[in-house]
Amino acid sequence: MAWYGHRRSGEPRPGARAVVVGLGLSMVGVLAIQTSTAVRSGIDASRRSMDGTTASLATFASGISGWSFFGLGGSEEDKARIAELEAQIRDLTRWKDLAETMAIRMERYERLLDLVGETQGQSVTARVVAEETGPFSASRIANAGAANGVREGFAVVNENGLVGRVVRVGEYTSRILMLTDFASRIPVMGTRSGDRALLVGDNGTGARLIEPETPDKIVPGEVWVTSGDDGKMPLGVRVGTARKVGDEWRLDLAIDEGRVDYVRLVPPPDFAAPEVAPRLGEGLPQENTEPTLRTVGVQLAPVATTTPAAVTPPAATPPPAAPPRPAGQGGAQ
Amino acid sequence: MTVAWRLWVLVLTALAATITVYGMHAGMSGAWWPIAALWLTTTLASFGLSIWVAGNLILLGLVMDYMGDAPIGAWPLALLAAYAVALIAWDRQPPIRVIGAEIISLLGGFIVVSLALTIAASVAGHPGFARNALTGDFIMTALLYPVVRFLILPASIRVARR
Repeated sequence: MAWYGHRRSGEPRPGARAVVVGLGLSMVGVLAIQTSTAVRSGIDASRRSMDGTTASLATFASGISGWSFFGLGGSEEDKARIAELEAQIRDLTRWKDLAETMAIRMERYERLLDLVGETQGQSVTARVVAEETGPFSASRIANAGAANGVREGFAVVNENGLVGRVVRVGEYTSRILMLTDFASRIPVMGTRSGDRALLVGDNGTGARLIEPETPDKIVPGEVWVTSGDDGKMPLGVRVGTARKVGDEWRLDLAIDEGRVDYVRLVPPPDFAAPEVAPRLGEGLPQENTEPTLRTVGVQLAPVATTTPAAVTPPAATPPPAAPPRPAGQGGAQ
Repeated sequence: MTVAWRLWVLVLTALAATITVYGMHAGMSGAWWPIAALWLTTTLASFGLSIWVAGNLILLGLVMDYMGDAPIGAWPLALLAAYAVALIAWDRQPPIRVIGAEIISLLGGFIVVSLALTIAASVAGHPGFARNALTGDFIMTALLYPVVRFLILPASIRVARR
């Protein structure tokens, strides 16, 4: 008799078999009821909290893999990396100052031209703490959530370009759907051809362009950016470069150019919703509420309500005399 | 089955969950990471049918569903199917050799896991299922199996199964 049991394997156990088969069938039932939106939203609540747990565990795992015992394990490499990052920070600070100056100038130009720009809300920078590229999803978990102002639908970018979008938000975590995921659909446009298409992920291997308006105009190697047509993504974020594979166009994604470790979670452009904006002709003219522009002490005469017959026509005034024509020009010009 | 064995199965399940979580930490997305649950289905089936094992596999599958953003129930169904295949393989040993039962359990387990996950995605209305990611993970699972089997499968099992 072994430590693990009294029973010889291979004995028929119809009761146990029935239980295991029953469990399997119940799993199919659980899967089937998830087609209901109500059930799915209920499960989403538990997923939100589980994302937080996953992030914590993955962070702990990262911590373990980052341990160095007795000072061994690439300290020189770390120092070199720190020095490199410090140099990058100095360089980036200079670029930041320049960018801020240019942003102020652009804002003033837009005001001068009365251009309706895309106002952008405050973005949040976060670190990716867990990664998942499995059979069902290509996603990441970032360590910023609702408590940090992140909401579902935020665009996610890094230094190379668009990473994806936020699909689920916990209190301190948010799940990012990568561009390569099956469920990812991003409206994009070519910078040279001006063509517009939908970028669809195919889980792991990349993303392809579907429904391009003018595929003949697409140029291999052309940079594609977000078009912002869905009103959720900011306009002009770099996505990748075009490459033709067989009959279809694919994008070599910008996120593949480097690691996705730190990301910026960007809110959607602040457009007024169509149902909120007044319809044409409604709400105008509005009462002037600016106190400095009001005429103080002047009473406007009440407008007389008159019938068309009672209106006396104004005195006819002679039209101004036409200027003398220069000599040599005819009547018909 | 004894209490000690049940605890051992519980510990193995927790270890498999830990390995799965470890494969999710930042920077691991491109790596092939073993499907630790397949090691469990292959080896634990050698002890014969057990509801305790099936229950643990369901729990492990649920954890994998949540972490991998899969439809709830997909991985439990897949692991139960792999467990069933492994039970059938081990049931034919003898006459087939232990190594034969293990290979059939592992390879057959992978095939039914792929099928079960595809069916689960379809039933739950999931937009798609990527077999490539699973294949890479399975190769790593198979490569590491010869090492792992000595930790899970006691030497006495061969004696008991004669």
